Amino acid sequence: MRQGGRPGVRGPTTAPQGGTIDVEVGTNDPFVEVSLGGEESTRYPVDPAKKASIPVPPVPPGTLVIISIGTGLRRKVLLVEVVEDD
Amino acid sequence: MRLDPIFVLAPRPKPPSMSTRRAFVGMGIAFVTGGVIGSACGYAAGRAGQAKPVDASTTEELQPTGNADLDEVRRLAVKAPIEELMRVAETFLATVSLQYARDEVAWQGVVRIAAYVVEHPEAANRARIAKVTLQVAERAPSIRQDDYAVWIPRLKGIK
Repeated sequence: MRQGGRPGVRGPTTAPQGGTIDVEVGTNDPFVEVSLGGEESTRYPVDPAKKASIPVPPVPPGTLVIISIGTGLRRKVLLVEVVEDD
Repeated sequence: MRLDPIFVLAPRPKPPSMSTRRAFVGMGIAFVTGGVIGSACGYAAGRAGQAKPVDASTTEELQPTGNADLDEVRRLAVKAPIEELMRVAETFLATVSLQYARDEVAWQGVVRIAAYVVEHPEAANRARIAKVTLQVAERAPSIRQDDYAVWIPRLKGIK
């Protein structure tokens, strides 16, 4: 699967509805932050192997899920587009 | 020998529906009207598409907030060249929406990004940045919604 993201957080560029997004974290951040562009976000823990598993939010296909680590302008961002489940 | 005339029926010539002069005048009026409407639409579209100019008073009053990160976000939003802002657009959009959603100055950067991707088809990762900008704009605090109303349909048009 095509991978995307800057050094810091890597994962797929698309994810199916109802699926899971598995990301690799290249820093020591204890969690990844997931949002859809608003103020609200959900945090998912990063395991000791520096991986995190994120359930795809219930959103329409075409929506981008914004996965990030860090804060401020040091934040690393991965955008994952939700696609229809085959 | 006798020659008898033969008459062949030809179709009756159709009279022109409009005199040549009236047709010329009509076309002239249509041309001028089209030109006026086209110019008005072009002007309106151009005005709507222009990046919202940064308020000079805002940049002059960009005082330190005590938060170095927010100061840098604000600088990018209103003072940095657009190329610099676009290089960190994804990070900027995520940071403003998650951390500084109530900061008026920071939000001006979101408007600049929206304007840039709309007006620059050659922008790198244009469709992706347009989409994330659209999501941020659609979920902006209600106080900011008016700033984006003009951009939302245009961002949606970018594929």
